[in-house]
Amino acid sequence: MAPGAIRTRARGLSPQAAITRAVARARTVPRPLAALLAVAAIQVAAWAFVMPPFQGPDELSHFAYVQHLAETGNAPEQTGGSGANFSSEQAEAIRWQNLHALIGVLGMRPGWTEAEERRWREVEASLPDEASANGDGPNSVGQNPPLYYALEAIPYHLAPGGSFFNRFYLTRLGSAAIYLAAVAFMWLIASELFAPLWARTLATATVALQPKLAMLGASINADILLVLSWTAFIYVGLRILRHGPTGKRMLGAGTAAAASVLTHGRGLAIIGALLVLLGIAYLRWRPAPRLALRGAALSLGIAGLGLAIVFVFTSGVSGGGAIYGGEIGRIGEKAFNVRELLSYVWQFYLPKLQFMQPTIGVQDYGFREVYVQSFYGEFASLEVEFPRFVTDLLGVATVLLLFALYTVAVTRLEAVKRNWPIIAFLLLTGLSLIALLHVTAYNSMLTNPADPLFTGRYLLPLLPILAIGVTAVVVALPRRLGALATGGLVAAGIALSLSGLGIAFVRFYA
Amino acid sequence: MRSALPSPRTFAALGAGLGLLIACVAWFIPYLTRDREDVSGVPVPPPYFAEERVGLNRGSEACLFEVAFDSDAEIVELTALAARRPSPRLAVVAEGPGYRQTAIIEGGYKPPSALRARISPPRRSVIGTLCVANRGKRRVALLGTTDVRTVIARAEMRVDGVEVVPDISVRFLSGDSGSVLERADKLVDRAAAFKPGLFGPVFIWLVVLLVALGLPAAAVYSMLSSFRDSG
Repeated sequence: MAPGAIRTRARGLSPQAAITRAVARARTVPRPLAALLAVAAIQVAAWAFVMPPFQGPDELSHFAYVQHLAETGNAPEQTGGSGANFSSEQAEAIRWQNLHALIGVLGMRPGWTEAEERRWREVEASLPDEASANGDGPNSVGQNPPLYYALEAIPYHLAPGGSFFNRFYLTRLGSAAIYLAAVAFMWLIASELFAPLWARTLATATVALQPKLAMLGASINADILLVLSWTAFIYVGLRILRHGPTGKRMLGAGTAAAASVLTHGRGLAIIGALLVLLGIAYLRWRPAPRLALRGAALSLGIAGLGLAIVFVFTSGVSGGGAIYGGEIGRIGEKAFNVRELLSYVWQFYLPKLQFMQPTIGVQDYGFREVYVQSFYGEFASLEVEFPRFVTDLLGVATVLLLFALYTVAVTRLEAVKRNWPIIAFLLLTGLSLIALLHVTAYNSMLTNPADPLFTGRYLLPLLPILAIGVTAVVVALPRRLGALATGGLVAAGIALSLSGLGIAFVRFYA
Repeated sequence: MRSALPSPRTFAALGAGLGLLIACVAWFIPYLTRDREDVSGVPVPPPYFAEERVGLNRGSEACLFEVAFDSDAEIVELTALAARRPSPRLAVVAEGPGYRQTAIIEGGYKPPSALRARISPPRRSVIGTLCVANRGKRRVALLGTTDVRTVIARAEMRVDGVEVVPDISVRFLSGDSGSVLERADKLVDRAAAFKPGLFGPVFIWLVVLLVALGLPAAAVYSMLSSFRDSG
């Protein structure tokens, strides 16, 4: 490198210049977005420090995965291993803060006495180095691909002092950073679709004030990276449909899809969404065949590379050599009956018709339980619930939103026709995930009918679509009525966020 | 010509203000000011799936080890399961380094019922043993747990010196039964336990204040500034 170039580079890296540039860049962030990022940061930090360790959904196993990968470079096994579900260090921390019996049990409280803390510190000081690295499995999330856990290994190693709880809380904050990135991507999505600043703010606030998402962002759980992957994918998809399929955008769509499949088995649904995007983009832009093929090869190639990495990685650690621990491969093995599947899906959303058999699995578990109750509430390990009246109101609001969307579509048919690529992309992307969730849930219930394997958390990657729907309805209202509704919706989001945190605080510490 | 109606920003502020007022009056204030019992600690929670009977014969003693007694543990609560005749007198002994308390639960109570014994809490929290001895003439069955969700609490149980699988479900209560607002400092101290050094009670207080005031303020500001910037 030429000396002049070295000098230029050195000047570019000076801390003062970097700070000045960062401040200048921060000033370009719109005020509503900055405020919403502050809202999201407060909320996620509060969840991270109010919710005792390992009380997030399956957090016990997810942290064990992060720790084992960070300490040894290997993922824990799903079914094999030496019998240690987690490391001896994690086991001792759980023991002295009494955290295992706390999971999902409302009558339990965590340890909080000074005596327990003192004893834990003595125990921690006496643990050998290998106590952090011996949780080799079985681990119930061992079939998951490694992307999220590899990312979380960074804050795990950055924790100062080496104390177990330092590492644990910094790992939670790693998830929080992913959550904040998802909120920022929602702003970008809204900026693509809505011209008025207030509409962008409302769409982003719908995501930033969703209490279940904030709780998930504060938990160590791969689902939060799935949310970010899907939010980024929807943003890139909208860019492609609105501005054309450039190489960079196709690369972005492929990367988001690869991130999704490298995060969780449920992330595989994004392949369907990617195919839909490519199809709609082709119809919308009609590129030359060579360009179309190049774009498709680029995005599908990267997504395929992600899948290949998943295959190589998981074939060595779990599931007897099958991808995602065999979950996906098992679809269709166990007396899979399409009529029974359709009947289950019908009864999930609508009342049973006279000629139908009772649905497979848990009766009375459907739309309300998944799309309302556990989508907005049921925090920690599902035991921290909103009062019934709140769930009822949210249910009514959800149904009203569907009717309002239908009305807007009918009354603005021209706009719908004009924007068909965007609407089709959003609807089919949502459908892609929902279809996979129903098929895997049905498949799982063939073996274990007691576990519906479908909870509201699984729908959070589609939250940007809900936010777009809410905003589209409010934008269609007369201006002042829309403003009043915006205020009401933001107030409802604040109320839900505060009460979710408050109920959790009382449940754990009162 | 300017419209006689207030601006959309005013309508948005009105919507947010009304919404928050309704939430405060109908939900937050009643929730935060309601009196509720103050749980000081739960060595073994009640069972999650199915109740288990832990039988204590006349003269028998059941002990839970590795039990934490906090400095506000004033009531020991056990549950006696259904029986045909009124149950016997029980002695409760709480013991730890430099701490010993004995309390009697008089016989004659009709199960099933929550049995409460008053003890003086230790000056500083201690880890010790909680024993329940049957001092009456009849057998008593106490609520216990063997289910996988709840038996994994730290405390270990022995009856007459022999380790047994069901643990007796026990919790400690403080005599204070005010609202969570009145006890906010205690709740914050509890939330700060086991946290890394920087994230002690002062940090948790800061988080509580940011949630209660900063979050609503920032959310409302984001909305109002977006209406101002939209014109």
